[in-house]
Amino acid sequence: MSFEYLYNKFYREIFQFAFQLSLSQTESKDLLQDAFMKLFKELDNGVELENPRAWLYKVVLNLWRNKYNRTKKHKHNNSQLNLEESTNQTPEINFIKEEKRKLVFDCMAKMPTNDRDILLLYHDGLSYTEMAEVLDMKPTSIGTTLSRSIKKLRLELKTKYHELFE
Amino acid sequence: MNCLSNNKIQEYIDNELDASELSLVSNHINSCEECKKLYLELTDDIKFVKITLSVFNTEPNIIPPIEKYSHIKKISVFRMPIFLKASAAVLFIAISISIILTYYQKPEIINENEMMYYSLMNDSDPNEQWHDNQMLITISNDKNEIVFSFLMDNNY
Repeated sequence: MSFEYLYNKFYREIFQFAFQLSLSQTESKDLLQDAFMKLFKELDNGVELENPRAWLYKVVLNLWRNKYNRTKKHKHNNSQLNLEESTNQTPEINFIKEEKRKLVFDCMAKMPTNDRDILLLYHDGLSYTEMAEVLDMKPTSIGTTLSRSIKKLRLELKTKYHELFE
Repeated sequence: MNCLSNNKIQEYIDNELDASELSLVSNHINSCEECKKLYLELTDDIKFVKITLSVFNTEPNIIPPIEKYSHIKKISVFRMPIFLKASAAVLFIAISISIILTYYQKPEIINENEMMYYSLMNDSDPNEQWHDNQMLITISNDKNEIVFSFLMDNNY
């Protein structure tokens, strides 16, 4: 598989995943670039990747964890609006969307890292084997962790922001 | 069959079970009230979480550089068939010959008189040159009286 093919196939969803982790377009662009840089080097060295999709997700996740541990400034700045994104919606709709995003993000930030990441991966449509590869878990324990974290997130959001999400 | 765990139901919803297990689980869910309740509950939760997480959906505002330039590679000169290369070479030669023929000018051959004139002009001083370019033309009558005269000035 050539680098170009992989880039064109996966850059959207990898960007999406990076955005879910960081909630910032700039940060996501950096993560995307670093991940594909690694992929390029890997392919240049003649390494055959069995599952490039899972590999890319894993790289992005590890890059983000390293960065997050180094800076410790993971908390999203609530006073600042994310205006980088260009949408055709009215300002009110954008504002509500942005608020919802922050609420869900903050809610998920309080969860254990593996539970949070598995939800994001699940939302992106990865299979159990891919999720297991990304998170270094056994494929058999994915189902348990997943159902537990789904319940946890729903309970959390239901109790705190009942009116927004029901 | 015993009642199902959350794990099994989750796997069933996500279509991750083997063919043998799949029929067993689906039969059990249809027959057992408890498990059916659990199944519906979990489906609802998954739906809720998926909708909730869709707030993160975004479009990358970047132009993929490879998509932009991918068409250029296809017209590489080194991959062109040989007759195209040959015709390009012939066309190039023909165009260059025609350009030379249209814009080529023969060097003008200066005759001896002109050579003399230019050499004289170069030797003389500017005042002389000025006067050489002027010509006084006079018209006179029978008694040698000047009737009319004018100055032809070639300096301008």
